Amino acid sequence: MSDDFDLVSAQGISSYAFDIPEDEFFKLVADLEKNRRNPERREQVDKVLNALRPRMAIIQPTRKITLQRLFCIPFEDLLRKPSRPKPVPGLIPRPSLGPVWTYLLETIDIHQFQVLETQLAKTPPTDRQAIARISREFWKLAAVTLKPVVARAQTDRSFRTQLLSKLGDELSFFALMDIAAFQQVAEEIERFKTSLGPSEPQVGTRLNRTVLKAFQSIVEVDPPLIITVIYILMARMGERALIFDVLRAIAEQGEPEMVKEIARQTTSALAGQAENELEELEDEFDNVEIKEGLTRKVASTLSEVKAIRQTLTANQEQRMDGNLAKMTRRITEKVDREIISGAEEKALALYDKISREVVGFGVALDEDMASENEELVEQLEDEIIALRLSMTFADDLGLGGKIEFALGNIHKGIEENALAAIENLDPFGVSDTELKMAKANLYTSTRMIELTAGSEVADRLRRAGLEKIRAYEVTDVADAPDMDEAVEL
Amino acid sequence: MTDDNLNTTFWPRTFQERGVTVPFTTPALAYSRVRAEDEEYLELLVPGMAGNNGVYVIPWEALEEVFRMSIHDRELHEEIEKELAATPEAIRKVSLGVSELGLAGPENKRIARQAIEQNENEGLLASYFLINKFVDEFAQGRISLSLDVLNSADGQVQVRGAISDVAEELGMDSDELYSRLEAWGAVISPVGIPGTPHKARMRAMLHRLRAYCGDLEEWAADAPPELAELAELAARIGNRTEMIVSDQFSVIDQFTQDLGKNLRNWRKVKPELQKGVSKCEWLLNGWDHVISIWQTTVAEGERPDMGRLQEMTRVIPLVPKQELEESQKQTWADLEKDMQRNIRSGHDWITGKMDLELMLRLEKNKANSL
Repeated sequence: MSDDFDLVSAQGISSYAFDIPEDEFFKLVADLEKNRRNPERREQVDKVLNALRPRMAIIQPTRKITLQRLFCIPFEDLLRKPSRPKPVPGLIPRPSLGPVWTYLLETIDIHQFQVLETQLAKTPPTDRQAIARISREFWKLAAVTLKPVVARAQTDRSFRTQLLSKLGDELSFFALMDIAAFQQVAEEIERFKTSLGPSEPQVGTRLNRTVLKAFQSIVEVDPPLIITVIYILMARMGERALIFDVLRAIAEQGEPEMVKEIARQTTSALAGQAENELEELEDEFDNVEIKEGLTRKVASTLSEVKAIRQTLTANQEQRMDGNLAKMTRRITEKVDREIISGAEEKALALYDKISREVVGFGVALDEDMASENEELVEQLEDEIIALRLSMTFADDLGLGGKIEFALGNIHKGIEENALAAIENLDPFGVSDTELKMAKANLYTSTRMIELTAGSEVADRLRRAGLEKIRAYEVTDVADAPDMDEAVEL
Repeated sequence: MTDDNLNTTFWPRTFQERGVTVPFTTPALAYSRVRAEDEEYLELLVPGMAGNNGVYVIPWEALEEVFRMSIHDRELHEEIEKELAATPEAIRKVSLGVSELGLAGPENKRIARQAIEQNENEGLLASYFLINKFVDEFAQGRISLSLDVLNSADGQVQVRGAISDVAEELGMDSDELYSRLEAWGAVISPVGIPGTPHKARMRAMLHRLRAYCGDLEEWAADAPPELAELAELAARIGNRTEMIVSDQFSVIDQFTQDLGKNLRNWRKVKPELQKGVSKCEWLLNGWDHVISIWQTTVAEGERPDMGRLQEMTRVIPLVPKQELEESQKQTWADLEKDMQRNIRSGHDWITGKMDLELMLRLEKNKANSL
């Protein structure tokens, strides 16, 4: 790939991210990174790199290793793109990396920095041992540099103000505090991550042992820093509220002091992250394109928030729980307004349009019409699937009845229309094209009823409809079965 | 269903015994295989049903009584029965037809239509490359061939004219020669021709298999031992299968090295090519679904866990005993032993989620594998 690499085609490549052989994939990533140096292309290249990221996470192409990259390794699980400018415990905003790194370079022992930088430049990216050694040395150097900064910022108000203005904002200030903590215990955190492995951590004896071991090693360095272990766990666990199960097990194993030290911080982090996710979710309602994706996100966020709220209640944190309750109510209103209300009318209008205007099966439609038809079908499925998925959390929000009512009406409307469409065919003058269109309409209707009311109900329509259509297909009308009998469901 | 219906071996003797993966979207039937019991009856092999480690064999006509199937599957079930489809080619054809009805969602419909179109184009492309190769070798400079030329009636007349002298040398008339080249292209279309810009369906599939094995090995290097063991096993079986398919491709490709001789012996060559292509279809059958499970997981940013690796490894198709050379059998016997040891009973992935969500996930897997 040359520098003139066509980024439009690169975006196409992203859809085949998994089909490219490894060596070609590595080369593609390397070339994209080279292209990324051009500021005009960075945004586009980042889009493609993001699409390739899932595979990159698996096969980790040998990207150019820099001290900045090594610096980020201990806390990379916490990096997020912030949706709102406020600090969230256990998350580090990606845009803060720049100011923090610049500040580090201004304060670090530049001679030692350059020695390590030169060593790294001479090390082949495949020499894992040498890179691990350089990483350890660099983390120590960064920790030594940042520790006094953090300590002074906590006691010296004017230094804190100075630091804040140097870093640009509060977000980066808090990021610096967190990053400094991770540099201090970087080796311990890396050992902990290795023990966790690449899969999602599952609550159980093994995880309890791993966390306890990490706590014990970090306590030797600086006891309050054991919160870094919790932050990593929160970033990796599917159900963060279960962290308290782990903490309880550790307390029972004779380390109640350790648990006491971080229990409050853990609760605040859980509540803070839950609030942040609810806020992000609220923002997503501003521009809804695909309801299915949003509904899935609502379902997973609300289920997580529900579990966190139970934990907060158990820990008697009424204020935090109250905040989450208030935010959940706001989400309820948005779900009602954006997903449920009007879905029935919209779905039936879409269905009507599909069945009346374009029936893109077996009929020689031009490409534009066929693709318009597909878009309408996609929109219709999206409406119905979003309603069905909403049922998983609807009862908690008091919306269950409303959704059932809407789904019932969509089902009824589609079924009646589908049967009428077949009924209205003229048994003596029906053309092949009309039969094909009727069949296509029947299949679309059947699919939608399956999504609305399940496959058993949908199959009754399919069978009755096909029987009727087959009856029309019989050339000699006199041999055809009784039409009225055939459509009876 | 009794225990007599339970076949606990992963390693079949023949392709026919192994059956063909049916892209069902009903969660309980996911990745099951159809095989012909005899000339008139089909049966379905369902892996890991009811939390069991073995494979259940269910008469085809009993399926609708035993399972609550999705609409897509009901239609597919009927069509397979109507066609008595029990080969990879036949199942693919029927499955594409059903997907085109839109019963597995608009994405499957769109992909199915593209796949049908691609099937047709691949036949044309393979013939084009073969005719081009033939013209290059035997009728140098007599005609400049492009796909448009070949696709037009005038162009075909020109080509026939240009190859008529060579046809005579080969002891055939030009029409016969031309139709043999076309037939050759049609037979090998899913495999395609090496070194040409277009990667035909099965050659692309082999590419995917290689990339998948490489990814699994990379991932296993940092995974905890119990997960690594399963991922490495899946990659080992994939690599061994890939070697056998590559050999088979070489056999098919080899025929193009001596076009003249093989066109003369077309009556003998054609069945050999058909057999070779069909063997490749059987060898690769089922792998698209395995790879799709892995890719869908990773692409959605999930961390592959034991449940997902079990789901994937459980449905890996082993190369049947009869298709292996003596020297390969011990390796595959060891792979089967490792599978028996590593695959656990139960399939948690089928429980805990509402049916609609699982069905939509299977539809997505199906779209990835069409």
